[in-house]
Amino acid sequence: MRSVHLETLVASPPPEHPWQVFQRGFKTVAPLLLGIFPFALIAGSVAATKGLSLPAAMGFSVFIFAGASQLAALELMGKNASILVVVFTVAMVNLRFMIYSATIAPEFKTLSTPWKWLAGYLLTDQAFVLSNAEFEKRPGWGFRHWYFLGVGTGLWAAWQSGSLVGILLGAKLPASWSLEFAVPLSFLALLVPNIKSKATFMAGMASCGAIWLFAGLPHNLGLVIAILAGIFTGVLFENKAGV
Amino acid sequence: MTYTSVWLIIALAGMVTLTLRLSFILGQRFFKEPAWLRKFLQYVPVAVLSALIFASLFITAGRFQASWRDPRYPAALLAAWVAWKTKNIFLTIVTGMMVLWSLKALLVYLEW
Repeated sequence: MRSVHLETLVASPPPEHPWQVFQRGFKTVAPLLLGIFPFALIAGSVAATKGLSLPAAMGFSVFIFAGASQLAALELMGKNASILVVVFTVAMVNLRFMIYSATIAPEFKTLSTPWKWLAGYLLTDQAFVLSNAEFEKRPGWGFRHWYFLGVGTGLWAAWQSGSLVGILLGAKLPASWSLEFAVPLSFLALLVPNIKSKATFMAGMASCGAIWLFAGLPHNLGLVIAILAGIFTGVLFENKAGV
Repeated sequence: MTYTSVWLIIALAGMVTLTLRLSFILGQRFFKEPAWLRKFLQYVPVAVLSALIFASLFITAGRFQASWRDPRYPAALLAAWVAWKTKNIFLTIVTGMMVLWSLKALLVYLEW
């Protein structure tokens, strides 16, 4: 009896604490900072060069907290677009967050409402991809929200500090450094481990093909079409392989 | 842009973005997610990331634009290879930036 008890004790993994899990999530973000920080620098410096005050430029990063849409909005504001067009464009560029929200929602089903608001606010491309990969490995994990909070907080801190530095530097950031190239590189680093099958590969190819064809559509609609094309192609190839 | 309209944009764009992020996380109480949706959603990361990478490398102002001399392509290819071999985010980004900077310096040196 006693030895059986001991065996089960040894076999069970060491207990986890919220703080440890939070830190682990936070640390997962560290290598991604190479991509986030330059992106934030650019977003901040563009806001400053378009004549936004420091509080307004930081307001962009804190309240919208989505780089691509911030840049799109600044671009339109520079062209004196109407407020509604700017807001609509931001909504379109950020439509993908709805898909992330739907994907990750089952994991957060049991959380309290404040936790859900916090998780929603911190839901970005990188937070989604990193946490999603971890959640897939650990179904029913009791500390997943702490992991997500660690990832989200790390990304948030990097984004806000990078924005601030970018705003303060303004136009002084040399274009020859090509810092913006770190953005697709960080996406590439996240993408490659996700290509695990023929179906995922074809999904990626279809997505590229669709953005090529539809990039000229207004309001970044091409991106939404590309995402949908990728998803449907993936499912199509999965069904083919399955039957 | 006036002071008021800038802050109006920040407030509205911020609310819209937060609503999109919260949509399903908060909305679950009101509607149930169908089982088949999971199957579709697993392709979201690949679809989004591929499109974003392709757009940033080949699309300029809504048009396809590519040049054989663009040092970003060999840099991205080598970075993809590193990502595939090591699955290391840090190494992937560092490789890509190093290759880009080296090739740019080389192009300048060769006056190409």
